[in-house]
Amino acid sequence: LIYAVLDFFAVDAFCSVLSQQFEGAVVPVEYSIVDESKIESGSTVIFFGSSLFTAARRNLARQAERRLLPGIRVLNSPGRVKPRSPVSSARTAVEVLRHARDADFPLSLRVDHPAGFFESPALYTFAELADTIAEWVMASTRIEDIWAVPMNDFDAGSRSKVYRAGAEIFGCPPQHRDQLQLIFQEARVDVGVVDFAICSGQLKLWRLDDGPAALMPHPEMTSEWLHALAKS
Amino acid sequence: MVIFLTLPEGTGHIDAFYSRYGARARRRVAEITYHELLRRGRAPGAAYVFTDRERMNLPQRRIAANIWDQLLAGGAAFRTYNHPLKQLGRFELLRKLYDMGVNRYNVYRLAELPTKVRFPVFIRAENDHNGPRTALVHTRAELDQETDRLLLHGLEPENLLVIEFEDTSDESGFFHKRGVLLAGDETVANHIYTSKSWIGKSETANETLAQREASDEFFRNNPDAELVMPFFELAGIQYGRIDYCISGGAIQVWEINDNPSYGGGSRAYKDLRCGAWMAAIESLAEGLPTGHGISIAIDPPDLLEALKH
Repeated sequence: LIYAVLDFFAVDAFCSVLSQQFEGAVVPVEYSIVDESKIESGSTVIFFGSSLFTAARRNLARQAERRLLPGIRVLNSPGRVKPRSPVSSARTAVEVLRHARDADFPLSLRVDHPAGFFESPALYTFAELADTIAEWVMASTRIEDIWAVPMNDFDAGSRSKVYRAGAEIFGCPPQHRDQLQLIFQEARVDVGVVDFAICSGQLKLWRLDDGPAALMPHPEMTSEWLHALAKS
Repeated sequence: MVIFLTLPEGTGHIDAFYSRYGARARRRVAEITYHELLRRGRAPGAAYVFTDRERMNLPQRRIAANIWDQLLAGGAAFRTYNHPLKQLGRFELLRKLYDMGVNRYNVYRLAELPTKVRFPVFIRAENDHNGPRTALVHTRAELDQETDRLLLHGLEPENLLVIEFEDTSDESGFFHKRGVLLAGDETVANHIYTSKSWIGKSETANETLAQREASDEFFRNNPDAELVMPFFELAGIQYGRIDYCISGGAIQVWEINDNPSYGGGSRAYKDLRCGAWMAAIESLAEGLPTGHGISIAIDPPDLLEALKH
């Protein structure tokens, strides 16, 4: 049995969208109600999204991990996963607004949250950028969570995803396998997803996510994904 | 026309009520989120009610205030209620009422929690209307444990309030929570929820027939209108519902909700009150001339200013 420990925002989405795929194999649990004594020895616990936690919340997640019974396998340990940093070309939305003249359009705005991720279509002008930020803030997105990424660094059409489930990696182009594996290893993410693009033969990282999106590989991959987790 | 502006978390209260009871009035009362208004970029002449102040962070309140200014500059066809920067939040209101000697219980932010607190206490979030997040907590150790649980849940420490429990039950152990709606100049005495539970939500009400009749009498007579008006004024709220009780001959205020739901209670409860609610809501646009719509947008420099820490 696999226990998926999720941010409370993600639990409903998980239950409504993915329960059929994982029924009987994966049990969603909210971080705050993990009952360590009820997780049996021999099962697997995956902590999702902790790379974006505040230091205080991460520390509490670490304590919850320590309380788990012996013989339980832990993936994405909150004590190991590195705090997530944005890709190198990303700047905060506020910074881009402040230095409008230097802005490198087209831009895409993106939000990373322990519960999930979303991004805007390409934005071509300063006014479009400001309108989108204002709308997102009023739609209750925290300004601290909004990043702006220049689209010129990426060819949006060629973006792909690679999933890691324990020792296995799915959807990986063979020539970049080692590099992508290294990205997961350095981030200390056992179960996650990397969004990347190949630009002029170079691998460009768009996002590395240890959130619940990592539990959403293509439906055809589900059984392989579970099998890989069981093996790892 | 009356337009309620809400955050995504606060949508549906007006819509659900008018779908059930006021389908014919749908052209006179509408609900829209702030971000949808910005996306549309146009605002029709109407009375605008700014709601969800408590759910907003400071940048959101500043952007809402910018929308307020634009609407008011639109001329006589625009009217506004509940200024998002001039209202007191839950913490400010309750602390002020304690300092003024109105409320007997105090409220603390986590960061300023003194060593000695009057137990029992409970925790609730400052920025939602979901009620207490804990049962009554009797010791400091228990309080620390509950705080950790809520932080691990993802709640922001700056949004957590520790509130001293004030026992307002009568000699039979019943709690009687009153609610009065204010809409502009109109008040409606909504209810007295009687419950064995201190939480006092409609779902926890387990009243006798006599208690239900007392609630209906309260609605018909509206006895507390003058009593509660100063608290709305103090909080800077022209549309909302005050929740309070009368205990030991004095009022104890729990909160003022600027986006109250009309969904709770039995069908008979709502049938009795719906006419008064609609009349109060529609009075917000009374005497408002019709006029052209205006464009709404947040200028980048204003946005930058709003986003400042």
